[in-house]
Amino acid sequence: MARQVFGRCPPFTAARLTTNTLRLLGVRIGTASVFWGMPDLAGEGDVCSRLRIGTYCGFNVRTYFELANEITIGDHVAVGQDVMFLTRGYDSSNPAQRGGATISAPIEIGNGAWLGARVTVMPGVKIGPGSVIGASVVVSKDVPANMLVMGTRTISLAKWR
Amino acid sequence: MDRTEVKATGWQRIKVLFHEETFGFHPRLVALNTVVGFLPRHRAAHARARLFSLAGFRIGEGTRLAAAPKINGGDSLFSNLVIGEDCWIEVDCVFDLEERVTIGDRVTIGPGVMILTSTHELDIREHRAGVVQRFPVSIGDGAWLGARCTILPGVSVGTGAVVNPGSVVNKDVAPHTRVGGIPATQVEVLPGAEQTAR
Repeated sequence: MARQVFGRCPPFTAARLTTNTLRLLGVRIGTASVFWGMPDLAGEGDVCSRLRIGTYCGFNVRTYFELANEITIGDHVAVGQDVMFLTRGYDSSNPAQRGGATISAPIEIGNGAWLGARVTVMPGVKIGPGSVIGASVVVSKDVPANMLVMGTRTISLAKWR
Repeated sequence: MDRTEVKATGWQRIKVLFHEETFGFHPRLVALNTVVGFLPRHRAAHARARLFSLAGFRIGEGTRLAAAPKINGGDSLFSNLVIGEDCWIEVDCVFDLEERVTIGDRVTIGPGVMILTSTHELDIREHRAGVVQRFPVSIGDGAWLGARCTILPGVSVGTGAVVNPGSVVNKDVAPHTRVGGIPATQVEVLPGAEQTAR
């Protein structure tokens, strides 16, 4: 319903109103976190209660949360445009229908992480604190703390401040 | 390559211009998108698929559309999308219907999947994207296309194949295999291929 209202709203407008509406709907969002556009919350049942966001986070427009399981986002996390958090996978053991039975796993994003534009975070992934994910990367494995992932390469940022 | 500019005059020129300006306009598609726009995303998936088949697309029983896919294409747009039974198509999909897109039964298509059917011929260096070429795409029964994968023109994805999320498929995918990466390469052979072969 909120999506129907705010979906008509141009991006980068009424960001605080959008964020407060999400708070009213039951999403646990810390202080000073802001959504620059209405995110898409998918899933069955009470999706809002499965999303938890820390303080001082920034979400760019068109974020997609698939809330079949819990998504926990730490403090000071920056999320770029068109980022997708997927918590639902399929058990592809049935040859007649590879996308048959669903399996879901939670996602955790550590404090201070930065996700670039068009990043796709796969079910069950934990991104460590202080990690940076470059644009259009598909994160299918856990990322340790203070790593920079660009394309298929991973570089440590531990020595960088 | 020898290119002679077609000199159309008068009425002929107006006809060409009119075609160019309107070939992508389908009043029925606009009406469909207007009606479907009232349905909430992720909800009424059966009803949405029913509305699509009412508008003229061939969509099997039990297929669900989580949101209206973005559709564009030329004259035979409505006959160019064939979807089988019991498919599940997620939000934000893009179907380019310049050529036939055939989707089998029990296919799962993740969010943000793009299926393309038109491309260009590689042309001179001053203008690489040459003449538009069109190739059909087919997705086999029981396949699963992961989130945000891109299926390029002319590709056929085999029965029971899995395409990993975010991959770009530019070659045919063998049945019962998992492919991934840009461009997509075979990651593993999935078990269960023998059962269906028998």
